[in-house]
Amino acid sequence: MDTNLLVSKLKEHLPGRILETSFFGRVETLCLWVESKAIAEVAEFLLSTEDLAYDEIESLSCMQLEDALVLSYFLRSTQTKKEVVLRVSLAITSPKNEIDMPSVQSLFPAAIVYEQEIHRLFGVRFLKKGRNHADARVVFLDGILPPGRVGFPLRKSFEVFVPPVATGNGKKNDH
Amino acid sequence: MITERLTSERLSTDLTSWEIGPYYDALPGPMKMRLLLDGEIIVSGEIETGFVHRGLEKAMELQNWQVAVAYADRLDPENAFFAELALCMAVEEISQFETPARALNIRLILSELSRVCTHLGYVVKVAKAVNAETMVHYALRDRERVLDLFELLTGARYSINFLRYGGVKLDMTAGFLERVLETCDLIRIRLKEYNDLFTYNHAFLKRTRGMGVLSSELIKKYGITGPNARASGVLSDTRKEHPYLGYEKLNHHLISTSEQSSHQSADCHSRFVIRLNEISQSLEILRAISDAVPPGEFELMKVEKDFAVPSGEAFARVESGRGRLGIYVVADGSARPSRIQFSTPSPASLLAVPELIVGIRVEDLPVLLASLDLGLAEIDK
Repeated sequence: MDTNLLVSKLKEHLPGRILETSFFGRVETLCLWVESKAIAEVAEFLLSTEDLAYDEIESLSCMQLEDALVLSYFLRSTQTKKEVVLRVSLAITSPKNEIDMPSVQSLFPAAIVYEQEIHRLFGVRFLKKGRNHADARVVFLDGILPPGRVGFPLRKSFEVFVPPVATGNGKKNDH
Repeated sequence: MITERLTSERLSTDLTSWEIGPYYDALPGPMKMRLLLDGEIIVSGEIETGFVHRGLEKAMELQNWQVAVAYADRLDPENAFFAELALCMAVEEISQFETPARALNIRLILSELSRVCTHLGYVVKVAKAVNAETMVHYALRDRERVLDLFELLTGARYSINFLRYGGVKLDMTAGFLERVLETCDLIRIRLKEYNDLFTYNHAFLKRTRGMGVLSSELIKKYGITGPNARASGVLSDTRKEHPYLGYEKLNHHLISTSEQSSHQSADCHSRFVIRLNEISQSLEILRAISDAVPPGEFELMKVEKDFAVPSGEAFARVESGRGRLGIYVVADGSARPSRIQFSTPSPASLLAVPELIVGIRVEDLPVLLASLDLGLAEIDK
């Protein structure tokens, strides 16, 4: 489906959920900024609409841009081989507080890996609704922080101790 | 089916629970399994990972761009080259670098040699799991020949740190391609020996046929890619779907085709056989490209310590030895990466494990886990 048509269809079926449209990076992949609470709704529309069928999640990534976390859902259709990126922005209220976000595990069970990882590393808690979500028989990265450390290691505010590197002449070289 | 055969052998005892790991010989790396057993038959299982999480992505944010390549090697030591390649591809996309054709060809040779190396490592793991000592030594011996080639070209055997943004560190030395072709010939002969000795050995068949069947529904559900998916007849190969390094110029029959995948039985044995097939395909690819390495530059420019990538983002994917390896790179215009995230293939296969182990014997667990080629370093990144 043509990207313009896709965007107008989305705006028609889910009014107000798409905040902005752009292209991802320097490629022609469509990038949709979505209202955070509506992520599952938009993903479901893209998954279940016949000629779209974005049925695979290639990656779910999180990054920090100043005081906000940006989640990027890289969706792909195994039928049409096309990709789309869904974007959500979440405001960081405090460095140690978790942020809630709807989960997409019921649509893409493969997302469990990324959601668990982002929960531990960035402090975004993915809330599951309904019964259809994947079970947590595989737990990723539980308790990765050493005793006494709190916070979310991949947020920019998390301080990391980098040990000095020994150089060939026996002196230590600070990073 | 193995499960049906075993039902008649169940002992009339209470269920017992068994917790193994994080460090245990039968496991592919540090992880914990909590099993519920009926006699020696597994009723259910849970998995926990995270025991060797290194914070690799955070560490990369603290280094300059070129050092990040060396860090990418550590994503998965057995598959080191692919993470390097993915990172360079993403950065080159952001910087809009035109990598010289000769450098692309050198990368392609390294990519296929790495695949051969990873798959030979896989043969070792599976052979170890079924206690086939001879096969372990044979495969390790042959993998050494591939590691020798890495050493000849890059100076390192495992974590090669050889790629540079817009090229490679060094040009090929005289006689390198001849050595590659010699090694290809040797491994081709060895593959036949593997088949005679091991692949269709009745003891090996008994332990792997019909076990750990990965249905195409499971593949789709958990997003499993790479040889594990292809062994179940699911055709997904990044080299074909998102060609890079000039894979699009190669004859498509060189990369896994439907004829090879369609008659796979999706069990542990299929996963073993498909990797041997892929070694054979990689040898063919190496033979095809070794005639066509163009002369010219091997790098676009010298990458200095203060090399900065312009603001932007990119998502690159490569077909690693275990499946699709994605990387998301964000640059803010400074000399350090703002964010690097890897999407690795192993977690998807790990998600399927609790479903695959139900009904198998405890003694078959190491074989099943080895057949999936789980890279714990990729999971605990």
